[in-house]
Amino acid sequence: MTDYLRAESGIRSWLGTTDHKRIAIMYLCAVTIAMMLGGAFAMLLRTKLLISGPGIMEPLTYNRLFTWHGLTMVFMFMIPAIPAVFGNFMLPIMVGAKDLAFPRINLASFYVYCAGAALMLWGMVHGGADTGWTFYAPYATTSPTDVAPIAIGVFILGVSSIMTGLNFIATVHMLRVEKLGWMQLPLFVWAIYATSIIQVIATPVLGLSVTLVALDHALGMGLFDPALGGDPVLFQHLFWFYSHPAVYIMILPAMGVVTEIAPTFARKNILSYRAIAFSSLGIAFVGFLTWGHHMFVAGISQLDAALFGVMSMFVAIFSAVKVFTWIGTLYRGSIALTTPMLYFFAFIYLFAFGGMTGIAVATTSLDVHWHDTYFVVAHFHFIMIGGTLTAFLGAIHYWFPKMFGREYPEKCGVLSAIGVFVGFNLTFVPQFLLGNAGMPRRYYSYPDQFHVLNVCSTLGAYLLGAVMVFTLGYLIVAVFTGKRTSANPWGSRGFEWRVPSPPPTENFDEPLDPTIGCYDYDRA
Amino acid sequence: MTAHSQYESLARRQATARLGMWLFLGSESLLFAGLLALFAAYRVMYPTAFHDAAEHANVALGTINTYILLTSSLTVALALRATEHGRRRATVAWLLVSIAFGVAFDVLKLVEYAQHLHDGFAPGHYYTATSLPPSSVLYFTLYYLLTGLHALHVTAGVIVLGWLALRARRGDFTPTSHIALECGTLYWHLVDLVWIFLWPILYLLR
Amino acid sequence: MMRYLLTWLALVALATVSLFVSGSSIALSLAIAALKAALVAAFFMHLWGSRPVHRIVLITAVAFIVLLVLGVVADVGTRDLAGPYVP
Repeated sequence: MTDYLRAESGIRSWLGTTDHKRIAIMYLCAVTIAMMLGGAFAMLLRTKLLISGPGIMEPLTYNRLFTWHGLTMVFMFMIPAIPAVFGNFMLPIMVGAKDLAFPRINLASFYVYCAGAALMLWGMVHGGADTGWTFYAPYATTSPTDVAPIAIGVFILGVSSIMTGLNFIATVHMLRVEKLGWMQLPLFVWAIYATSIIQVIATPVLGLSVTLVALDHALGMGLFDPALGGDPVLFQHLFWFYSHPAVYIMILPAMGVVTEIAPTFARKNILSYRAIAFSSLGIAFVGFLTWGHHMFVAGISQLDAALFGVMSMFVAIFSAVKVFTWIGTLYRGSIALTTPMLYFFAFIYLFAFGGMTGIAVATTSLDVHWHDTYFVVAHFHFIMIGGTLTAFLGAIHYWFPKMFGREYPEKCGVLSAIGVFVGFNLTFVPQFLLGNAGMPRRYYSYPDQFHVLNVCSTLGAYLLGAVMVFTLGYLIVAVFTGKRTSANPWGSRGFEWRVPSPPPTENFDEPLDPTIGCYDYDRA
Repeated sequence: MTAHSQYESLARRQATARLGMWLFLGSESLLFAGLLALFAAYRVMYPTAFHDAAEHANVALGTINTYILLTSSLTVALALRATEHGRRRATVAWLLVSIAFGVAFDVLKLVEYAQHLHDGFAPGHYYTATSLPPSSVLYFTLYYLLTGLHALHVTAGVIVLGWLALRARRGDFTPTSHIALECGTLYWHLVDLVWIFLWPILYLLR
Repeated sequence: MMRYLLTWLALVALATVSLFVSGSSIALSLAIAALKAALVAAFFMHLWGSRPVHRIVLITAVAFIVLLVLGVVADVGTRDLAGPYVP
């Protein structure tokens, strides 16, 4: 049987496909472009920050750049990336199915993503949005820039996200192959399932919030306008009710990826299946109880702030459980230091470090000092880049042979992993110091005493950018000219490695036999 | 259903569609959550203004609309039952009755809006009435947004029921295969469910 | 058939009751509304006698709507009690 890449040719067979694997590849192209674009915005804004005073670009341009950087990265890359690429590709195979529950909705979700992204980009080209990606009222509702198209673009991207989540939940419930119970599922599936719950429940609230901003800006609805009695802080409640769980949409799939990588390259069963599975659900649900920690100094009641602070501590427990389980999985394992495994180690270190700074800012009395400074910026970049992007890159390298049937050059992979780690730390460790010393975020200029650290951060960003371009380069070359590989080059027990690389269109020549577990390395 | 289908049986495919529909309904209902939260918050902040503003709600029209939607839920349920018993013409008839109810709901809504706008109770910065405390504008803005969002769903529901009526007339639905009809009726019931809460919150609370 | 008609009658009756008693108390109006919603969900939407997962979906959605409303009201309602952070 021929594989899914060669099954049909021609652009129409791709654009009209309902094969989850082809849709995953199309998403991969789209999110990679988004990531590069978001990265370009970052390079530009960090360039401004090489000098402490005015110059290089206008303040309005700078404000637009950090807004577009945030919007592009969050909504066009971070939220869809791992679910829509690797979730799409791997989920059906991992449950033993031929495709997702609703293949046409899957394809539709891709086109909805494109429409939302296009509208957002059009809005940006029209000079839109200098409000920060968070669209806070009252500035967002009165800004002279064109906020409405971008806000609606975000809404549409949200619809795509809901469609994907819905599809995944239905697939896990209804398409598991016979004998594959919930507690035999690959843990990546649990991670994607938990993520999908958040997507389906939280995203509509985002849709409403950005619509209200658009309505306020374009039509003067005035719901958050103090002149009419409105309270701008209420916008923040609505916005963060989605946007906090959103960060768990960004990290849970990444955790799922590293949970697949560790057993394969330690040749050992995961330390505790239940710990990982249930902590994923724990993060998904408790994550909904913490949104107020973005608003400690916004003007909410201190009683409310205290409640949110306590809940924010609780949600960290689940992440800690995972970190200890991953490390425990390596104990007495037989570790192979391949590129994916290097990314695994980078993830553990950077996520744990970033997570601890999360506990720090969740402490209300400390956040009073750090809120809206570079400390917070560094914290979330540690999680988003150090966590999610690292896992995304690990996933790309881990599943590259499966998706393309070819090898990537391993030496390049090692170089890229090291380069990402070094570049990332050079960029963001100085930002913790800057924030703690009081440098506010989203500021165009800064006092001279912060100059050296800013230069260091910018140079780190340039290095990171260069490494990313290098990584993209060798991966694209490898897609077309890499050495052909066997079905299971890593020797993994995972279900996805039991089908050919690349898989045939219908995934399985014979039904998946889950009686041999996907982490069963005790067996010879 | 082709030989390449990922579904082992028609029953499983239908059950999956049903689950997908419930997930969609769950998601859609969250769309109203933010507006309800805003309404609750502003009511706590401005109890007098909201009380006075609510006096101007047209309880008569709101209540008629409530009875309309409750009855339309019955008629779509009867349409589905007719298909389960293989009665094609009864299905179409009940669907058409339900559509009529939906249209009536929307018309009454427009009448209400026209009345409010005539009195100067417009949303946001278009509000011109002077008879109520200032923050009453927030009540009306949320009233328009909540009922407007709901009315959009009613309208979408009418279109869905219309399409289903066409398909039923064509004979697409059999007693054992009518999952699209079932999912469409579930959507209509959601529209009813939302109004069941909007009606007391907007019209009856004093 | 009877099931549908009886449900409808109960709904109409509850709506009528609501008309007269809702003015006095939010809790009462919402309780009656919840009862009506439960009837629609159970009998018109066939939740009674279908797979449990559908009920879980509905209950979860409702729980999160309640969560958002309570979370926002918890802020607005306690600002007099424990004011905002003032540096």
